[in-house]
Amino acid sequence: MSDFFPDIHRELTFTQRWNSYLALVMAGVVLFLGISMRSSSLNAAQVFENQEAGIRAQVPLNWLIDSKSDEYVIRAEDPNALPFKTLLQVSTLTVGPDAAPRNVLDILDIQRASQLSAYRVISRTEETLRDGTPAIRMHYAYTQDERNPFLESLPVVVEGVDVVILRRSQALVITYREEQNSFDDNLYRFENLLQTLEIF
Amino acid sequence: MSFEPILLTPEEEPEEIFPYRRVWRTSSLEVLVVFLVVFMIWLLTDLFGMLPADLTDIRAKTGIALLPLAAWLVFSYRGERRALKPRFGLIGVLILGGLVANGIAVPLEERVFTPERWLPYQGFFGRVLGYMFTIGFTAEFLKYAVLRYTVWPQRLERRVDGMAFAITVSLGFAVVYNLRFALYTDATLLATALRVASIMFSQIAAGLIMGYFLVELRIGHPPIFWIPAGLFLASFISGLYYGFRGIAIVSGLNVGADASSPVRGLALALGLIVMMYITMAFIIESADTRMITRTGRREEL
Repeated sequence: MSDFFPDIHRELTFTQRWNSYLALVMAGVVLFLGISMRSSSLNAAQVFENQEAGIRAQVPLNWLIDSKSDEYVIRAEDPNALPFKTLLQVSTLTVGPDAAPRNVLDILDIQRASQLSAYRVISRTEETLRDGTPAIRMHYAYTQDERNPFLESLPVVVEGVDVVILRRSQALVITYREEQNSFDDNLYRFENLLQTLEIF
Repeated sequence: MSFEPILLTPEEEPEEIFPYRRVWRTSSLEVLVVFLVVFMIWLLTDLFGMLPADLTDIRAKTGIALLPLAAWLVFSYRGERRALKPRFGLIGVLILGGLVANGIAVPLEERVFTPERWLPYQGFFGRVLGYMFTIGFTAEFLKYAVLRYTVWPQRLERRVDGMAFAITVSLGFAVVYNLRFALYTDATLLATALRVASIMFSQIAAGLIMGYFLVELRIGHPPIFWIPAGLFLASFISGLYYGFRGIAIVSGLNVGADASSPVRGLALALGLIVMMYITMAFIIESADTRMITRTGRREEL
């Protein structure tokens, strides 16, 4: 290496030395700013509120929001995600007074097995939400085919998570679906939704 | 009436032999060669249809990705070897530039900054600042670090030395990005060629600023925030280029079937590097002239 580069152990002037120090300090500051910009951009959220359903939650900014369906209270999709539009959804189901969260998951299981291709349940776990509400979480996967046969694309493997909460005679189902390679990367969006979800 | 004596056979003044490689000339040739090849590929693909638009041959893509390096070896490196006073350490700087790009810049970009997830959805100023504070600054800081901790200050005796080394480290950086694009994406030959020119021109353009600030720190008497100012300016130029590139490629009425005009991106990259070459050559010439007037020489002893 000494053939390539000369001896660098030369006495630096005050200005040269401080320029080197300040460059290092600046690197730390600018990279912190850059990562902060990235985080604030990725985590920017808007508040969604539905008085009729008694739900308030934060969903990612600039996502497509649909609340005009009987199937769900709100559905938010990332319009820029490829090959699968990342989905967050809150829906309600009417249940009897003796129903348990796992009964709701059983119903969803049966429905999805006939609707979704290669549907498989991966795991079910019980958990307690931040406010102490008991809930059950189901992790599943299925494949989604391109509807246009001329595009000749491979099926996309989608992973999903449902969290079911019981509220009086209603079950609240909070859903997250994402293409398997990006599932873990975007799971925090689902956790943000869960943490900001208010039921009133 | 008086007569000035006139010599009938005046003694010829010996022409001063320039002992160094002429950096601007050789670098401009490299830029010209890369631009012409990319422009030819665009003509043959988009205009004349002689090359298939969906050509994705990996050898052709790798070849075009290595074209800037080949041009540098032919013009700059060979020119350096032929010069009376060659600059040593260029190959080492080139390799180090590639290594830091592949070992630090690319992993940071792919795993930490992930610009494709958030930058394209920002407004113009958001894109400029976002790119500047992440990818732009990282690239310029790494180039600065390579030069600062290897050839600086001993090998940077003249201002144009800073340009020679800055172009070299930027080229090492660009070659890694070009190869990654050629090898790890499904892009066509035309898209790869346009990207290669864009990366090469923009990296060199921003790198020149860093080279100038570094050499001035060696030769001149700048303030203690000189290098931070240089890093800021170089990364800002990178950010501006990224912001305008988005506008140049997707705006306008005469767009293609995919609603974009990548050749405008090529024109923008060419405009940037031409502007930077002219600006830096002017600044360096002015500074050298002032130095010669003051001290009688253009290099630091």
